[in-house]
Amino acid sequence: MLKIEHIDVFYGEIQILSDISLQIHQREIVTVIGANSAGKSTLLKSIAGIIKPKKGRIEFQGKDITGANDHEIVERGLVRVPEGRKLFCSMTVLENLELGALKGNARAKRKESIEMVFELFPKLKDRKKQLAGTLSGGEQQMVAIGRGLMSLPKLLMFDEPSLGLAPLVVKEVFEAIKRINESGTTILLVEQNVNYALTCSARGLVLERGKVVLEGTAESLLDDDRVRKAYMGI
Amino acid sequence: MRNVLTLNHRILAKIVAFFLLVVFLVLPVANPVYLHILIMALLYAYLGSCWNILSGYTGQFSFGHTLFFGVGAYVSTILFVKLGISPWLGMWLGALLSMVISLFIGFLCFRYGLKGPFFALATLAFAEMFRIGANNLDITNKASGILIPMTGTSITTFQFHEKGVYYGIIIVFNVIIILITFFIQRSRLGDYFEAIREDEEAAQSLGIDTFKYKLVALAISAFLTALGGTFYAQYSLYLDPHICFGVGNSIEILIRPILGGIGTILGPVIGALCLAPVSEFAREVLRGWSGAYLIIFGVILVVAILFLPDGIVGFVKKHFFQIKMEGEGR
Repeated sequence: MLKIEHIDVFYGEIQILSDISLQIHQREIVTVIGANSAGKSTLLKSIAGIIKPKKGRIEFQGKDITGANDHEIVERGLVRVPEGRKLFCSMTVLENLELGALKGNARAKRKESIEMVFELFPKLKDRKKQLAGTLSGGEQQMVAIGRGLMSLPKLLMFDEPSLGLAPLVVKEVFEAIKRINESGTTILLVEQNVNYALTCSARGLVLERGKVVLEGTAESLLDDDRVRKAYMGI
Repeated sequence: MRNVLTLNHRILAKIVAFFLLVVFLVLPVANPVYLHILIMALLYAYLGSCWNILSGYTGQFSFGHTLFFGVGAYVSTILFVKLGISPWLGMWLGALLSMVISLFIGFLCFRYGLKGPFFALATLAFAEMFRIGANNLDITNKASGILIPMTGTSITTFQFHEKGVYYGIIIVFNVIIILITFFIQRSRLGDYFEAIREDEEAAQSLGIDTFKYKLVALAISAFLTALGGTFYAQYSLYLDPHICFGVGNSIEILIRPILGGIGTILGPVIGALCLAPVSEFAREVLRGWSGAYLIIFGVILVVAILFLPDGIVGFVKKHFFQIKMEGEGR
């Protein structure tokens, strides 16, 4: 579904990603793990069209999207839930969700999508008229995920959804991600919370200083000594 | 509890209505000085509303908005004085040129990702470039400025001996800008603008073409601001580079919406009406020190930002309609 071939990404002169290749099949959950500054967020931003790779090729559903504009990529159904939630804090939960469905089909189906989000996160239904900035961290993450879903994505990318959340809430968020996947959305996850992320994924990649250093099924990574040592502290 | 409150609100509404009636109808008829003050207040209410579309709703803080005001004023005036083209036509040409200039500036700034203070400084720099240009070019008559010859009251020349006519025109300007702001706020365009203001990265991740919509906001704002410039030129019949492109005027444009409440429909008008007496008083007291009243403006700006972060409109909403707002939430 998504095919990345040998991309190199730079911020000015500094190379962030080198020779990254990655394939995601329909209905899969794939996780990219790595420490801070490994290039995880940059990878998602490159796929989303916010940064253009200097070399290489990105293909989505058989079409070349390298160098396409960020808003065109969203229209194709490739959506990113940014790191740190990035809600519209002085708007209500409902307004945040509505802004997720901007165009065409997604806009026409707005009402049903909102119901779907409330089904996924019943807590939000009670808080729909509340300002997003006044919610707890977990609830804010739910709004961010819900807002991403509003555009009816085919592939949803999450940039560290567990960032700054309590362990119980993290569990809830990952369960929601699993349910989103079960209803047919392909998922690319970027995480530092290796245990949870890999447990709900099929496959994973380890990114270090902009390079893929390890790749395999989620189980094999969870059993890998290097992963256990470096990211799980075991 | 609720009844008492609604009663209070009704009394409050009556007092406000009476107050507005006095300000808008009785005072200007009673004394032409008040009429002048009111015309200027409403002109800056209009300009502030134009600024508000770009800076209040879309969050792109312009510190050089006088540039568009000046372009509007100079274009219609030069066309009128040199070629005899009616300012009614010239003002649209000025607005178009202002829009083209704004798109050029916006393209440069937004393409290279200038945000917040950097965008503000860039707009300030462009306004200064125009000030220096107008100070040195023959077509703008250099620093001496342009005196528009008074040819008698005529609709085609946009000149009236009666100030009341200008008063009527600027009221119409204000009604139009309020309607425009209202429709923008209600429309999808307004949603895009506010999303960009709240969090640009989030707006981007939702598929909003942030580059395009920032340019749209800038172009609308610049176009409308220029129309105000022509009004000013025809009302005062004199222009110079300092009035049109000076930093002082940029501050005059942005202080009213900030005081009244940025990103609100009526904020700029309310800010302008509240500031007018203060500003007149300051000018009176500081007479002889030209431009010293700007110090008072600076103080007001600081106080407003510190104590009224959401402006007068935000303050009133928060403290007088709190119960109603909370009631809606549950």
